[in-house]
Amino acid sequence: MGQAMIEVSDLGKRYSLEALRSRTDTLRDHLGSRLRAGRPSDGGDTIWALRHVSFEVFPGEVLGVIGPNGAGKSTLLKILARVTRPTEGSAHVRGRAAALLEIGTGFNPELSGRENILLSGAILGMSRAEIERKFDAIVDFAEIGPFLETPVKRYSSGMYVRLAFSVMAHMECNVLLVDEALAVGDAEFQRKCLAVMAGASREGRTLLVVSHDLSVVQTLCTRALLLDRGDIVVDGPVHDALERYASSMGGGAAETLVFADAPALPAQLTALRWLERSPGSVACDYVIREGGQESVLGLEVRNAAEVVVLYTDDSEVADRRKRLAGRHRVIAHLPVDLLAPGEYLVSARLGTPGALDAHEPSERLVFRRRDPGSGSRRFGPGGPGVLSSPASWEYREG
Amino acid sequence: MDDGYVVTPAGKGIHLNLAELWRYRRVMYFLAWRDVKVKYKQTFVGVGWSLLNPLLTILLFSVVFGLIVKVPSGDIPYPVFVYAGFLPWNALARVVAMSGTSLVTSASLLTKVYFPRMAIPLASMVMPTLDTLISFPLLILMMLFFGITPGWQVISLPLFLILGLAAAVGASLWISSLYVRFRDVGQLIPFLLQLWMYASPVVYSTSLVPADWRWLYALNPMVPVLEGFRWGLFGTPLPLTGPQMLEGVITAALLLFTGLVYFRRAEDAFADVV
Repeated sequence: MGQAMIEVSDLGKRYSLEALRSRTDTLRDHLGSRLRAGRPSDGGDTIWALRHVSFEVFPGEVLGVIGPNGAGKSTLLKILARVTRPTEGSAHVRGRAAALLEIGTGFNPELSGRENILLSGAILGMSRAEIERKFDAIVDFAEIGPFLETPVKRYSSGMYVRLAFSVMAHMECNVLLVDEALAVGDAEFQRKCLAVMAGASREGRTLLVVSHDLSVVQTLCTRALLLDRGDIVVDGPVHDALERYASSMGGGAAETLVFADAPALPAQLTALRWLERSPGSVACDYVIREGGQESVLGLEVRNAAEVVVLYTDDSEVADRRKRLAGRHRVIAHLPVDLLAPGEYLVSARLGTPGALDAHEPSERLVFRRRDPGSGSRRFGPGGPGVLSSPASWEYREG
Repeated sequence: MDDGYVVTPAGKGIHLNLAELWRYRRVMYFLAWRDVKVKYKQTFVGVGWSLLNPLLTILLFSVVFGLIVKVPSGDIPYPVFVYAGFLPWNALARVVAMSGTSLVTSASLLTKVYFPRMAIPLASMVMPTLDTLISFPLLILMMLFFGITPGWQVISLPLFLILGLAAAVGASLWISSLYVRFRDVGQLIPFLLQLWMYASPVVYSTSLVPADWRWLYALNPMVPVLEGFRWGLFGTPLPLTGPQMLEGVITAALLLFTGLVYFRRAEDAFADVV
C-alpha cells in the first residue's frame, strides 16, 4: 500500500460553547469577564467536536466520512484543509492536496468569468502555468464559452455553479479533500461532480469525501469512517459503516416504539409497532388534541443508504373519525415484498404538511428483508437495485 | 507546497513566518487585483470620484479652517498646506478603514481555504493606496499654480512614505484581527480615525502645539510623517526636533512589530470565530 497519504493521529478539537452560541464577543463582555474572573472567558463550558481520532488513508483509497449532524465531519475536514487548527494531536497530509469545501471559493460577482477563473484558481493554490494550461479545459467543462467576458453576477445559478466547480475539478493534486455538500445544483450537475470524483480515484488519487448523501458514499467510496459526537464508531468497509449508521440513527431503531407525551402539540404519535412481521403491517397510535385540523400521518421507508424507497400516508383512510379529538389507531400495510433484501427503517410524521409543530420522532422502526433464498442466482449479496420483485421473462425465437 | 503539510495545535512561540507569506504572494496579488478591478468596474467615473472627493474635502477645509478659523500656514497658501497634509493622511485613513474590516468581509475565504491570513489585510491596502495616489498630480498642479517649487529636501519623501506605510500596516493588522473577535471594533473605527486625524497635523501645523508638549504630540507616528511630507515638498522649517522625529519612528516600528505579533497569535482562531 505504501506510505499513507493522510495520517491522522489522536486528533482533537475543542470549542467553547460560549463562542458557539454567540459566535463573537463584544469588548464589554470580554473586559467584563476578565474583571470578574481575572482571566478570559474561554475557561467556561467547552465541547469536543472531535476527540482521539486516528486513521490513515492510503494512495488510491476513497474514504467516505459519514455521521449525523454534529458528529465532527466538517471539523475534521476543516482541520485537514488547514482552515482551523486542532486542539491536540496532528494530521499529516502528503503530496499536493486540494481542499474543496465550498463551491465558488473566492468568486466575485462583479468580475467576468475569465477573471474569476484566474482569481479563484490563484486563491485555491493553482500556479500561473497550471491555470494557463487548464484554462480552455475549464471553460469547456463549464460550458460557458460565449459568456467568458460577462460578469458572473449575470450568470444563471447553473452556469455559476458549473464554472466554480470546473475550476476546482481541474486542480492538479494527489489528495482531494471534498465536502460533498458542494455538489449542489441540478441532477445533471451532481452526476458530473460524482463523475469527476470517481475519475480522480481511478487516476490513483486519494480522496476523502465528507458526505450527507449515503448513496454517494455507497457508490463512490472504498472505505468509510462513521463519526458520532467526535468519535470514530466504524472505520472499515462501506457496507459496515452504513449499516451501523442506519441502526444508530436517532438514538436507536426498534421493533416497537412508544413516544413521550408532548402536550404542546395539537396532535402526536404515541406508539408505532409491527403487527405481523411478514406482511409489513405497522400499527400507528396517535392522539388528536385539537380536532378538525388538516394533518396527515405519513410513513417513510428508507434503506441502509438513507434513500427513501417508499412513502405513504393516511390520506388513504376514508373514515372521517380519524381526526376527531381523542386516541386513534391506523394500520398501514406496506408492500415490503417489493423491497430488495436488507435493513430498512420506518419513520413517521404527524402534522399538517410543512407545519413546524408537526410531531416527527427521530426514533425509527427497523425491519430486515431476508433474501428469499435465490441468492445463488443473484449478481451479488442482495443483488443490485432497491426493488426486488419477480419480473416475468419469456423467450422468443430470433 | 507540494510536499504536503502537517497540521498541529497552535504552538506557544511566535513565528512571523514571512517566508510563507512570500510564497503565497500570488494570492495577495490577485486579491489586490480583484479590489482594483471591482473598484473601477462599478463606477464608470471611478477615477473622477477619486479626484473629486479630495478636492471637495480641501475646499471644505480651506473654507472652515483657512478662511473662518484662520489657521496659520506660514508662507504657504492654506489650500496647498492642507492638501499636503490631507493626501498622506487620507491614504492612511482609507487603508486602515479598508484593511481593518477586510478579514470580516472575507469570512468566506477564512473558513474555506488555506493561505497565510495576513495576505488579506495586506492585499486590501493596495486599492485605497492607489486610489489616493491618483490625486497626487493635483497637488503638483496646485504647487505650480502658487509658484511653490520643492528644494533638495524632496528626495526625503520616500522615507516619510515608508514611515507612514509602517504605521498603516501596524494599525491595520491590529484593527483587522481585533475586529474578527470583537465586532464593536467596527463601530469604533470611524471614530478612532477621526480622533487620530485631529491628533495629527492635517488641518493645522505642529507649530501651533505648545513647544513643551511637542514631545508627547510626536509620539503619534503620523506627526513626523505629515510634517516630513510638508518639509520635503515646501522646504519650510520642521517644527520638530531630531529626537522628536525619532519618537514617531520608534512608535511606528513598535506599532508594526506588535501588530505582526498580535496578528500571528490571533489568526489561529479566525476561522472559528469569524
